[in-house]
Amino acid sequence: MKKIICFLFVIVFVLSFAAGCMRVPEKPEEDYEVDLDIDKNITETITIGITNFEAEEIATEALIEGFNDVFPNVTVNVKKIGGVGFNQQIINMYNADLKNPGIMPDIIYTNSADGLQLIGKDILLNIQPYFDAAQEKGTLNLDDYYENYMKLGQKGYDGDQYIIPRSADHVVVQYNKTMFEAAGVDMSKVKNGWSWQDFLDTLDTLKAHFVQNKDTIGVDTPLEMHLTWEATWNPILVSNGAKVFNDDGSIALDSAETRKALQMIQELDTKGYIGSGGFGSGQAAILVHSQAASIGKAQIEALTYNGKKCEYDVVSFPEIGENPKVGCGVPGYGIYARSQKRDIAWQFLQYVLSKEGQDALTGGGYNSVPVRKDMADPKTNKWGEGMDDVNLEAYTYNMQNDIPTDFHVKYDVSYSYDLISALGNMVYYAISDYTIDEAIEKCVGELKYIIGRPA
Amino acid sequence: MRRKLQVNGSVVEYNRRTFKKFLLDNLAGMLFTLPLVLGLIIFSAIPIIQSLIYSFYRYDMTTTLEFIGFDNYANLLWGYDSAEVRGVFGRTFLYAIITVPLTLVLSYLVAVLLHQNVKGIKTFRVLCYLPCLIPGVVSALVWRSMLDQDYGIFNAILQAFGLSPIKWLEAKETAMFSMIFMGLWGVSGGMILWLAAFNNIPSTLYEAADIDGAGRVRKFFNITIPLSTSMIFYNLVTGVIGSLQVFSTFIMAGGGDGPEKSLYFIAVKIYKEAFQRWNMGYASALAWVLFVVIAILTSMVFKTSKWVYYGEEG
Repeated sequence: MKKIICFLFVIVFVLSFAAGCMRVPEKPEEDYEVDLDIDKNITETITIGITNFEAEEIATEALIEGFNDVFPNVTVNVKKIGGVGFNQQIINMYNADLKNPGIMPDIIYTNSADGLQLIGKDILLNIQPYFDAAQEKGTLNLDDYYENYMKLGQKGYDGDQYIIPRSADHVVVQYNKTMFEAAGVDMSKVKNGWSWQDFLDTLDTLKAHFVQNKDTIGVDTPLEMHLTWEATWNPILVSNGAKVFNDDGSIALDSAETRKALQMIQELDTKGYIGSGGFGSGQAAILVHSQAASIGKAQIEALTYNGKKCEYDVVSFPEIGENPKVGCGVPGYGIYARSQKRDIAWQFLQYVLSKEGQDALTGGGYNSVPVRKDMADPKTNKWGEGMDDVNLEAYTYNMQNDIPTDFHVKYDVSYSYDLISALGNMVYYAISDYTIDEAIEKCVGELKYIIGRPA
Repeated sequence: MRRKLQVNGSVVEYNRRTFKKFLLDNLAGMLFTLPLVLGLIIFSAIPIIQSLIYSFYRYDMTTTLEFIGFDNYANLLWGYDSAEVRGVFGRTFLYAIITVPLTLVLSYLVAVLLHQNVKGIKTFRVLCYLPCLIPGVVSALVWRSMLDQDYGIFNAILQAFGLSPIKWLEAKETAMFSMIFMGLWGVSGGMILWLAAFNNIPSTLYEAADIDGAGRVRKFFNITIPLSTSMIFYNLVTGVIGSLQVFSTFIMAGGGDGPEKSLYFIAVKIYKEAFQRWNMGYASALAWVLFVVIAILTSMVFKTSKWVYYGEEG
């Protein structure tokens, strides 16, 4: 019996080795042939992998419908992969695909933050050859697009292109106009390009109004702003001139500029402007976010305040100092590095970048901001339809000031999550029971630990 | 060639022919157990051995696979990560030291109460067991909402009585105790086992004790507890193993590790190493160290189990 057990153990051990993917896959070819002359009547099937959020499915279906107007015989199947842990599932599928090709979708939905990992792990195709060929052929003109947003699809945000941006996510200040008017906010200050001080004055007026009327309206904090979210703290840090790392990779966080930025963030908390009350449920007058205006408008117009139907509007993110910055990011698509159908997949990507594609996306229920500069005007483009009373220009105001959270790109992608978390923790410490000096000191300790790890 | 085989407790000698007969005689039983055995091999044995192999590699699941010997183990035991590993193990032990006895005692007392012969006891048992029917992820999300500093129901109650709200999960001083408090939600999980153990105690012992004039307390300490020690032992072992693998904090802390890492337990670290930092080799090494720690603690519990009563030995 012992021999049988030993034999079984050996079999299991060998199977473990065999099944264990104990080899690194060869790097996918980057020097490949590009074919842009695809017959519009080609019959083909491709798959696109997306998150399982309903809004994402609606947007994708809208794009597929538009794409089929150009390529009527191309079937685009949608593979819903999951929302939370999307990259984790993509990597699991990738490992399975190496053994049984065909499991991975040809096109992968991603965003500027998660995409960096997929690029670093050779899962996304370097589509620079397509970009070069399309520009040479004249079907793609990079001048049509916001450079900042195109860079968010590049390796390390500054290199070869791997992801095409689908829309421009730009942080703005969304507000409940009815609450503003009831509080007596000086509306002449609430305009695109307003300053941080104007923003604070507005919050002060709202706070006083809410405190005075707390018993009747039940709202006591005017602002919903996710301070530990990188698209919030990063522009405040950079606008103040703070740096996380020096060019040589050493830590530069402990500076007067960082202290100034943290004081600004801390003030929002200590003055009682921020609470957990949701803007969409009428528990706050302001939301600092990049979500599409159509979402906020629908939420706010369903509410009443003091018996009056609420109105919604938007204004640009307040400008800080001489070098103001605004948080940004992109959702987008990449092509699977080992896809056998990359030429037709590229046609889909190029369609997304086209005017028709950007309009189709709006038709899917989003009024997300186009990545094309020539579609910036909401008055003459589909993304502004039905929003005449909303200051949509806030979404495209001073786009050259947009800045992604890119301080971590000089380190390996395996550090990204921890590095961004460490900065988020610093903000958390600053608005908790710690002094700003203690918050910085703790963060520097975390950063040292993270970059001291082997990649 | 003759061999020895143990069948139904007795040793029999057999040769190839009798072995073949043994296989044929038990073919039906073996076929019935085959799916389970295959499942265990494919979904448990192979991944376990794979993780052992991975633990000797630098492996990121995609582009890097490099044999590094015992480096992963050295890094976590005395290398760059040893301080953090000590921290997460310390936190996990603290959680286990408080949770295991607390859960054991409370679930035991609940079971004793539900073992009474009173009207409607079955309804009480169902009500007490209901929390265990709610999936762990769902209850963790519900508890996170109830413990929210600003809109949670607990703080609303405190404020209704004029008390200050508590940062249940938002402060490092209270986060772990909130977790432990939340864990009591499933305290009735072991109740079914306790009740089964109580029902196995012969009623004649209680009748004899009644004749001898023993009171309820005396019967409880001299009959109920001694005769349910086997179940106490079982719940103790599974409690120790379960508490060292606690992972629900990951959901309670919103996918993070709690304020100032106060909810950063070893299972959360293993998950983060594997699926956020993509250090599958290092995560495997951590998992094997956790396994060794659990094995040592479990064997210590077994070594000191002379107090357990398993019934009359045949």
